[in-house]
Amino acid sequence: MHEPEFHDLSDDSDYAASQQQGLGGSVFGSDPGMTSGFNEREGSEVVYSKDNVTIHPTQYGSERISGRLRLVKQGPSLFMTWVPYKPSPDGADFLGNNSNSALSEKDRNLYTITPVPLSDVRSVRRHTPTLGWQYMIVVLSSGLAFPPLYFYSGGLREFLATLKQHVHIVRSADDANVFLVNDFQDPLQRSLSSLELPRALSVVNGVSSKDLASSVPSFENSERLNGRTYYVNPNTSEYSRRHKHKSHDPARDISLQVLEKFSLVTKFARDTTSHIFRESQSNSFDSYERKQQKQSPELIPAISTPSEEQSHSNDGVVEPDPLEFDKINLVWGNPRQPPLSSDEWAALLDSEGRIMDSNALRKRIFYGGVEFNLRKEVWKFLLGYHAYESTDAEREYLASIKKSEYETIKSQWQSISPAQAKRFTKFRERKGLIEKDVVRTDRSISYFDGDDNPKVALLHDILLTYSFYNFDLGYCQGMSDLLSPILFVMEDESEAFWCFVSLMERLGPNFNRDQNGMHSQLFALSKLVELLDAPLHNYLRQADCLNYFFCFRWILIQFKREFEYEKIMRLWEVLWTHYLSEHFHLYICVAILKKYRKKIMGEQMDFDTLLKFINELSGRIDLDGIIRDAEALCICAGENGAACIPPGTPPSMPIETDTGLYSSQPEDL
Amino acid sequence: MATIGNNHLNAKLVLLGDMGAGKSSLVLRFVKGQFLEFQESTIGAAFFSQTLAVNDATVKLEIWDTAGQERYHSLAPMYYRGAAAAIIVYDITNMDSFERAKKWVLELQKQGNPNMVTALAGNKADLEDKRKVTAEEAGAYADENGLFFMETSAKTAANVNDIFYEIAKRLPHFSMLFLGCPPNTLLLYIINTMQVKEYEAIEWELPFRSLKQDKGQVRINLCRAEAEINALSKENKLLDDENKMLLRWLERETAPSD
Ligand SMILES: Nc1nc2c(ncn2[C@@H]2O[C@H](COP(=O)(O)OP(=O)(O)OP(=O)(O)O)[C@@H](O)[C@H]2O)c(=O)[nH]1
Ligand SMILES: [Mg+2]
Repeated sequence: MHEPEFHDLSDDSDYAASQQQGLGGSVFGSDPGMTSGFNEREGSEVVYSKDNVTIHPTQYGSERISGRLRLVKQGPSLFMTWVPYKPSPDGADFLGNNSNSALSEKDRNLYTITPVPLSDVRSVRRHTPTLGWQYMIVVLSSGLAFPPLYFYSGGLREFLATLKQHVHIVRSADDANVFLVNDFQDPLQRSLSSLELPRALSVVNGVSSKDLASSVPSFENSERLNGRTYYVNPNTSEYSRRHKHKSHDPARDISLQVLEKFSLVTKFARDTTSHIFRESQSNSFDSYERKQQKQSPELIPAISTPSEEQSHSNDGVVEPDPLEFDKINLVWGNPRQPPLSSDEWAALLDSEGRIMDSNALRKRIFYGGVEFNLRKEVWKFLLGYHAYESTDAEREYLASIKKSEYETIKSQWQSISPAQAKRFTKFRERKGLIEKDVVRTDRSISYFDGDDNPKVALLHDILLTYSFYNFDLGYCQGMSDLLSPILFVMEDESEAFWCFVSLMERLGPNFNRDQNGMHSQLFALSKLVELLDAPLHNYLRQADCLNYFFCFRWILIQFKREFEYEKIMRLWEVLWTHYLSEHFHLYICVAILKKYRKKIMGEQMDFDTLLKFINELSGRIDLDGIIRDAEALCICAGENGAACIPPGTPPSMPIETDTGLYSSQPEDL
Repeated sequence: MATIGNNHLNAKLVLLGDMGAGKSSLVLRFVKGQFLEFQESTIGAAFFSQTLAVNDATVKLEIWDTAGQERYHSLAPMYYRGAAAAIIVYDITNMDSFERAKKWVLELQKQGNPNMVTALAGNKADLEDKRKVTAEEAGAYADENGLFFMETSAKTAANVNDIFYEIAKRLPHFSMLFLGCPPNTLLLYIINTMQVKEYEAIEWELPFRSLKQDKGQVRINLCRAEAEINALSKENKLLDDENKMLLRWLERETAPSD
């Protein structure tokens, strides 16, 4: 009875879960912050902990109580708890909404979930809507249910995966989204699962940057930011007064965002042209400060009434770009350079063909790209197929090995006879998907045009071979777009395949069934826009566009549909350098959005109009200008920008298991 | 959801169906009169709009074209939620695509707006010699499920305008009421009529948040709606309960408050 259902469950988790199988996410050692009436004693172990799990006490999305959800194992029993955070001093949650403040301490206590044994739980129903956040509803054996718990930082899947490891859960036959929970009693099951116990997982450096990005701004946080800005500008009396004031009354006079902006500007100033800053302190700085204050989100109500919206549109004034000041006073992006030439390339290699200074190479390509005829060679390094320190001879050897490896994998599907294929639905389906897509991929490029073009067949063979190389991921729409320029440059089946494999190592999560890779990038993008253009962020929030799905195509296939063929090759090699940031593509997104911010806000675009507008930008974006803008934004955002991007966000390499996917941290509030 | 003003109706329509069935091609034919032999696959979604004249009114269809691959299925609710109409497309030369279409029908019946006008389109009707799904089979299925059915060809343009036009004609009157009504009222209405929980209703309500109308306009529209409802109820065109509920709701809304 259990077997098919277990099978069903794991099948659902597909690719991502198969990569994480058996990790369990257990972290040893009990959590010191773990109190709240829970019977603390030796041997209690937090096996799952997730921050920013949120309850909406009313129908209004803006009213929310965020907290931490945990699964704690004590002896043979598993308990679930959810403890709301204490209200943050400035009343802002991690999304920058000033929402919690309206809720009383009583509300908070009311919703707290004191440790409830999983044996009391009847079922968990999960909801993974695409508009909004995923949530679950836990139903107790008594028939009572907890209010929906929204996973603002993801983690519903891990929650279920962890549950699955410790208690029997089976999928309801009626509804695939309902999981029936039984207590963990069968001793055989228990011993089986203890065999699976994870290799020792270490918690990295206490607080990861993910926590920095998503943590509820706390008093300590503001203090720290204050301290930092104060350090740069000790002489500004106005500033120290504000600083003092803030320390005494952290409540609401300046939002954290403003402080973040200050630290951003001052960091930028310190790093580059601090003298300009000091000279203009008395005038520009003040005006900048005033501007910042004006844009503080507190002045824009979280829920604007229709009449307010109206007046907003009537005066037709779009809030100015908060970085306008930087544009005027500081160098905005470096001028683009001509592409890397053969001579330069030759000079970068030692006598055996090693790249002597990979950083210099990446920098050079970041600022200028690569001449077309060099791409074939250089892309292999950028994509990570070749190591920078490898020699010519090593690479030649590798190529021959890889060629036969490719042939081996390819022969796996080639050997499937038509009769066998008849009984192999998954194979037929997969082949069908690929056949449908290759014939409509870049057929207007002369390389792929015409009837029965053998290059189209190559695309097919490589993609089908890839779907055997990575059977769990398979083929997804969009992959043919990613392969096309690679094949065009490599002009060799096996080399193109391996370069594609390298690219997919980073972009694979974009295609996960649960869309996690996409969600984390879209989320990071929203945080970056919030940091770099608060008025635009506020506009998008008010227009209910914060899910950023209008940027889905940009991110899924790295802007492939947005630029002409030659341009896309240029952009890709710039992105692949990972020179300023692994996530430079997100800064490109911000740069494009900022470029059209006036139009977006001025015309009061709603989601539909915005998506249409964005899709129609295709082929009309000035690449060099956008790269320059993105570069400046990336530098400007500095560490604050990096902190917006959770670790493991594609195209970062997936987080290794031993970095602790489910690390438990002490209470941060 | 459909909304109305001066004999003008805005209605959201979503195209669903297997990849390669011809969703994008149908929209492109309808909106731009073009057909591309190598129409690119849709990544994410695309949005188009086209206005039609139906009787003495105009209907602006706001069309969402979605990505067909199963893998992107989880994105679909975002696009069909709040839609007044849907066209579910399959490829007559591909039996799997017909099976997929049935799944979409089921999903919409379960999750979609119960008043949604749904059409089934058997596309690529020009490829008669490769046909795998007969018109009889599909027609019978459509009848059973209360869909209207047409075979289309984006390539030859056969039945393409017709299917969109037919949808425009069938848009239910009472969905016109939703124009500019404030989200909270709407939420309440949804909770009452659909008998869903609040948190489920929030999802329903999302599409309406983008409605931007000032209060005067809302009032005018609600008055129009009320008149319309009265007229309809005289002709016995509305179910009794529905009618009462709407009237109660309208009374509340049109009462001169603030
Ligand atoms: N012969 C014929 N071919 C068609 C017709 N409609 C579409 N096609 C072709 O079928 C292929 C797929 O069409 P699309 O419109 O891209 O299909 P889609 O449903 O939008 O596919 P996805 O975006 O991948 O979900 C294209 O090569 C079209 O040229 C038709 O009526 N007749
Ligand atoms: Mg399409």
